[in-house]
Amino acid sequence: MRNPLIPRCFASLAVLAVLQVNAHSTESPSFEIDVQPLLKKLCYDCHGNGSSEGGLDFDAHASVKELVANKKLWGKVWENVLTETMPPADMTQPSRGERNALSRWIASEVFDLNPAAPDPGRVTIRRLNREEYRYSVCDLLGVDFPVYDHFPVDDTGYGFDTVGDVLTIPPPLMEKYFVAAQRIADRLASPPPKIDLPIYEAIFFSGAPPSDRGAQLDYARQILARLAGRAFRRPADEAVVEKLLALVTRALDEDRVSFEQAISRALVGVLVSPRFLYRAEVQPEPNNPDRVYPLDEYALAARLSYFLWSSIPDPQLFDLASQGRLRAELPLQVERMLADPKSDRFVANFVGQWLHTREVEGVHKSGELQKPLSHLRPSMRRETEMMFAHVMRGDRDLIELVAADYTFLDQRLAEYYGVPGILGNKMRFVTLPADSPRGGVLTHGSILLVTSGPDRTSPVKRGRFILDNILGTPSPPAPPEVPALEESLVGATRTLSRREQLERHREDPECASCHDRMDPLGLGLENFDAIGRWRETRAGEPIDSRGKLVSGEEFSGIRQLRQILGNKRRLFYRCLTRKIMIYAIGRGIEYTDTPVIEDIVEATIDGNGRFSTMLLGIVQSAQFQSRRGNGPVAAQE
Amino acid sequence: MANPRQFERRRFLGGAGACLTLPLMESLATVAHSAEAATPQVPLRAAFLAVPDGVNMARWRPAGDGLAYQLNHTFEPLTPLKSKFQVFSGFAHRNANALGDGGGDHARANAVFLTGARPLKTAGANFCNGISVDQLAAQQVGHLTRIPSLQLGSEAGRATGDCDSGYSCAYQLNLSWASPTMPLAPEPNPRAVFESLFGSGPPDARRRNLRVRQQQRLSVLDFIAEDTRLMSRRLGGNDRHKLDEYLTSVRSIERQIERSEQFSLPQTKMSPPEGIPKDHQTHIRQMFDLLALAFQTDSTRLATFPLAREGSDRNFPELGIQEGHHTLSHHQGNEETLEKIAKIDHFYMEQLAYFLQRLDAMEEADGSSVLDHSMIVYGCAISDGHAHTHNDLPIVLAGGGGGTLSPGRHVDVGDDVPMTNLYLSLLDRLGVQAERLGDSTGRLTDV
Repeated sequence: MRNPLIPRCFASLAVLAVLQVNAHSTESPSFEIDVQPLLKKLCYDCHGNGSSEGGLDFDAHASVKELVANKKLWGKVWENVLTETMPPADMTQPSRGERNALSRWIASEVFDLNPAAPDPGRVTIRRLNREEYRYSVCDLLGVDFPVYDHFPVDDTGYGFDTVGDVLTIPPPLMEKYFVAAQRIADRLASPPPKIDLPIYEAIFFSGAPPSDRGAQLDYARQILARLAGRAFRRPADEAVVEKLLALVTRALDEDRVSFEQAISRALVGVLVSPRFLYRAEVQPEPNNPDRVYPLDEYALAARLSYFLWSSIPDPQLFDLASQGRLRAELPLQVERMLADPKSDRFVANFVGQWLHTREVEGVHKSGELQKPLSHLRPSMRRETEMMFAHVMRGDRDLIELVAADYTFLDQRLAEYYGVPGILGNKMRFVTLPADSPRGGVLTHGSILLVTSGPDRTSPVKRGRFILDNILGTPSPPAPPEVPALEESLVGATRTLSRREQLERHREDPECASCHDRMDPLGLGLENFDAIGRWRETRAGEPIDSRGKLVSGEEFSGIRQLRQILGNKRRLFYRCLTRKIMIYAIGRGIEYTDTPVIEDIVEATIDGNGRFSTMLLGIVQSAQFQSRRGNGPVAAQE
Repeated sequence: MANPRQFERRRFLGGAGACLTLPLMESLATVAHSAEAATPQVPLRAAFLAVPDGVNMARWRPAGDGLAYQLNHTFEPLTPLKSKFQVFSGFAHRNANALGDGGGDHARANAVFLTGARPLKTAGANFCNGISVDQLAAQQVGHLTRIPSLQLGSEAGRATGDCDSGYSCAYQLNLSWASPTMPLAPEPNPRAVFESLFGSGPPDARRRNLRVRQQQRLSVLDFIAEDTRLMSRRLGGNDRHKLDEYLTSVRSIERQIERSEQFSLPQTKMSPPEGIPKDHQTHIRQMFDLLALAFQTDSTRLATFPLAREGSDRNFPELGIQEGHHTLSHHQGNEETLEKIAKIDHFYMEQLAYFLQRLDAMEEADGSSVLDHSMIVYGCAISDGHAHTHNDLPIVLAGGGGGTLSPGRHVDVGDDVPMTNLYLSLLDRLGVQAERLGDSTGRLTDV
């Protein structure tokens, strides 16, 4: 498939570069001239002149200096300005330029961020998660090791299993790495009838070993250097190869095993080595938090391949890195990598966590709701994954994920959705009929399933899902001592309609400040039941799916809600950029990342939402391409 | 004998940063000698079992104190064993409360249940809890058995995305913590547990297989230890700390091989389980079968096992309950909902009864039972699931503790007594020296 990514990518990158210059070429803004008038106009009605709603009063500070120094306050203001949460919909709205001006002032004057020298943040050395282990072993040796039976699920941070901080190797896991390595290596040393050809050929790259001892050792040395280089994702030091060779010669001399068995001993060593299990990125002055260095090309190749393939770099990436040409050829390589079927792993692993589709097959449903679902769950998961892959590989506007008029179905799922004319069990592209309520991931069975309880929908959960994962404006958690709203209603008020239940709680202003944001979104999806089926009534009552978002828009039903969400491109692109960045870089997003993210969002908007613009923005960012020293004491972030 | 390693481990801990608490260091300094002195004739075991989402206290709380007390409805499955366990009222886990950190009660409840520590609120960076009671014990007496400790689980999958209100999932899903930054994942696969207990392959080949495996490992261990040191030199502080963790784990493999010269692999008539059972009860009972065997064969003396993860929203169609457990737990005082919670509590209690009966049917050399030589803690760091209360916790302590415990009673310890005070008393019995654990304020004397 020819992907017309390249010319577009260059175009969008040019835009990005221009943008950065424009955005930061002005003189540094001043509080009194550039900011205070804006605050007075837009914020003081509630947060100044004696008003202090939500505990925020801009003019309660003794001096401008004190106000500017209040980073906690400005962090919140910044987020609210960017996510357009403030000012509220019924108040005067700032122009885009005013929001940007405020944002730039906060970045440079409050947080002292220098756009010319972005802080790439601190990334902890990363253990392979079990998906990455699986695919690394697969691409290295041609062995599909059954990781799901063998390794426990990895811990996650910021919603993803790629966050190094929480990926540990406690003793029981080390034991499992040994068992896995030995089982894999056994395949190499199996006697002829049971021999595993792919692994044999992956290791013994020029055929059977020679009989001459000297030639054997030469061959072993080549085998080990090649193996260790690929497994460790950079050329292996001679000292490491010699140590591996010592394992081989000891096995040959002392244990009198075959050449294949001796090599398999070294293979175990490679597979339990920290150089394989961890992705270390070496930099000069690793403990100097003030120094930022670009990643070396091998580390860059590894970041790229684990990002898009969940695996080791292939020979082409490796060769480019060894020639020092990878950075220069990045757009071309990204295009090649996305076209490769291995990028399905990115789709499964990223989407699986971003949109929770990993849960689809395991989420508990009550007895009577299980039957209609039997055999449907994998199709539901695939629907969402294929949708993402379609947008990704076709370099389409990402907003289609929310607002598409097409989806991917097989016969069973089509019948479930009431879409006629789809026969057979092959999942395929389907343009939805005009009268179908489906379209966009929020109407996918997968997401409707995982955002519901075992026996009922949860408008609150669905609303929160949209805030967290589509709009990127998560609501603060419920105050302590206040039970999660909807949960508190179970049982006691079962006779009330769902809407009445929620409205009753939104009468309490403390609850309402968040639930006004969540509930209408979730109620807009009430026509989909706890397993994603369309329904017109609930418990005999017609479903009322009208609502008004906190941002002011009114809607009736999923079609209108989808349209509204489809217009919130900036919020959606920002949300997705942040999620992909967490996944790709392996750490949470910090305020230091905000200017870079805003630039990527701006470029994505200018690039008509194309996936390549966002992806290249991320891959070309300082965050992806460089490292800061982490220092003995972790910086306050 | 343990000096060089002790040094290694302390060096590793020294890198762990500010969240490392003093008691851990103190307790580690006493590793070697305390353990041997306390080895009893019949070994003493401890297991820590957690149930999620609190309980229906009205159906749980016993009537009366001391020996002459009456079991409540939820304890019906345990009635035949009434002389073999005690019920405690009044324990608290204060660090499970918000204390200014806002929501996240389920994540905190799980994180504190065996640590009593204050989990730092973070979705990832700098995550930090405390060492758990089982791991504190494993570090001092784990070397007395072939396997220092077991972490069992009953759920193959996990929630994705963010966990509870801004806490990393590590807090919500791991009961055992080897250090403030090293949680131990529960193992949900009964087959994997079986193989770690009895080896793999055909029964008559298991010992040989293990020996061969371990020989191969020994040859590789030196290579990776040396290589890790080379690699470590070029890394920054945080990354080095991760490699120190790795090295500590590698050393534990080495020690395990050394121990295996001392302990031979036990044999069993049980056939290896196929994999992870679909049915919840079957899954839990298979794990309990394995744990009972592990205790009987003295393969390990320490275990943790969450019967479901904290915050679990599992439904129970087999009990006629279609709603999720967590959803129900926010019962708003509704009688019908509370009845359903009591049913779920009863279900989990049946599983406990199954386990205790297995232990009680296993005879020791002196005619007593394995249960008589065990200390089985069962409970939750949430009492009322609706309000997320973390005091007056529902706690059972089963087993005779080798004659050191006084089962058959209901003990009201008073108000807000740290749960960790009980743990310290249990640690004493295991021969573990510890001055403090998490929020402990002393020892529980009447236990």
